[in-house]
Amino acid sequence: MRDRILIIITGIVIGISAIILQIFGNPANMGFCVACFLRDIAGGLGLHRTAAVQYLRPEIAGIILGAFLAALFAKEFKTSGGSSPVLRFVLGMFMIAGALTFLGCPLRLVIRIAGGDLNALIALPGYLTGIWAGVTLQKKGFTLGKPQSLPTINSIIAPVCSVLLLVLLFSAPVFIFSSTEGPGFMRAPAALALLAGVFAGVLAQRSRLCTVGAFRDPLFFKDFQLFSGILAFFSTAFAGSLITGTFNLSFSAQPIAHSDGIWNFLGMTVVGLSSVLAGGCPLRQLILSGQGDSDAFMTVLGLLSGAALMHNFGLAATSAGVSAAGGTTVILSLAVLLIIGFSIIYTGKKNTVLNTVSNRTFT
Amino acid sequence: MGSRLCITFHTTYHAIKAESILKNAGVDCSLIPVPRKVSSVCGIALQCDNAESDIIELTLSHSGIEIESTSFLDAKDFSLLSLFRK
Repeated sequence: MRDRILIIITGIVIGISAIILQIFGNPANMGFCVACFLRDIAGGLGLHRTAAVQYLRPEIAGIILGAFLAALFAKEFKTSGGSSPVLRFVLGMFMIAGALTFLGCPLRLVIRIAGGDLNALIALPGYLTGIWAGVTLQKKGFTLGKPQSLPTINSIIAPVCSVLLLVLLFSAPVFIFSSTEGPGFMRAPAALALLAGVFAGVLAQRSRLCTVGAFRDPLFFKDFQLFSGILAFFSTAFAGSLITGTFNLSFSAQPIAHSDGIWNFLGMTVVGLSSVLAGGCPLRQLILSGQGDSDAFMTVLGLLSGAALMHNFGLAATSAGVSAAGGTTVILSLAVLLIIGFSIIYTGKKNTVLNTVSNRTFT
Repeated sequence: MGSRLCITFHTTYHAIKAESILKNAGVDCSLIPVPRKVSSVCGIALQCDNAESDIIELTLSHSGIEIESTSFLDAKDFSLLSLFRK
């Protein structure tokens, strides 16, 4: 009961935060979007030069620091890592390739549906397909391996990087890029955005809100606890879009979105599949980074680097749609994710046979 | 019928494999999302009857599957303060 109430409170608070951030300046249907915010941060650091999406979004640092403080307070902060870090980095890159094709992370997917964007409704089954494919690979033997206990310094990197980002944001040195127009220029006051991020981080750490688990658990275990959090988030965002008069039920003229249905669907399939394989959606990767999981921070660094590549190579979607190169990237991403999945399953089975024949070692 | 036991593993795959091995050994068990009070990680755990804990431990040990943790699945009273306890 306690867990159910907490996750519903979390969904409502993050939903209200998203509405407030949009009222105070964040782009429409983008109160919270982990993928978009990381893309903006990549731009702010100069990792890509798309002038319209450069800003050191304080929400991301807030989420990581909120999760860090909540985990410390609840004595859940635990340094771990060493479970296929390079693969996790690559999975992060694919995750954001899919997200920047759809133009949003799973959190924004929900916000877009709540705002009446029917393109997001097409993308939702794509996300579910990706989750289904990921869990199926896990059932067949996919694993990234057991994480190890590591020296504490490993887990401090994520919160320290978050503080450094905030220092750079508020001191605004000349080498930091900041959009003067476009989505990157649409921003709520930094202090408000930081506060909203911290709230989201604290509550998501305590409740374990995860957009992958929210759909995985009802599909595979008939468990609706995590789903109730996302439902509360959706209901709040929906009520917010009605109250603020931004609700617009249509495919066309949606803010920072395109109407290429097939790429919306497949983009979110890539996000769903890579999220399951990496052990959580983009939001969850930030939360885990905050509570000491250095593997999750590798995924976040992959998200950041992937965002830079997507923009540097002109692969990210725009409101006009998805380019041929962008579409090819999505297909290749799906193919490589499946190759990674099946190669690990094959290697695992081969090792099991070898162990059974020669070693017979039991742990 | 003993109390329900929740067993967590280091990876999702091991939880799924453990269920299959235990079911083949005739143990009544099922997969569940890891309860929040057990862990802050959103993986998959195994729930089973505590009365069968010995055979479970033995079977998994012989199959080379390492158990991460075990805990009881008992309901706890709800209070606002408890939101910030593990």
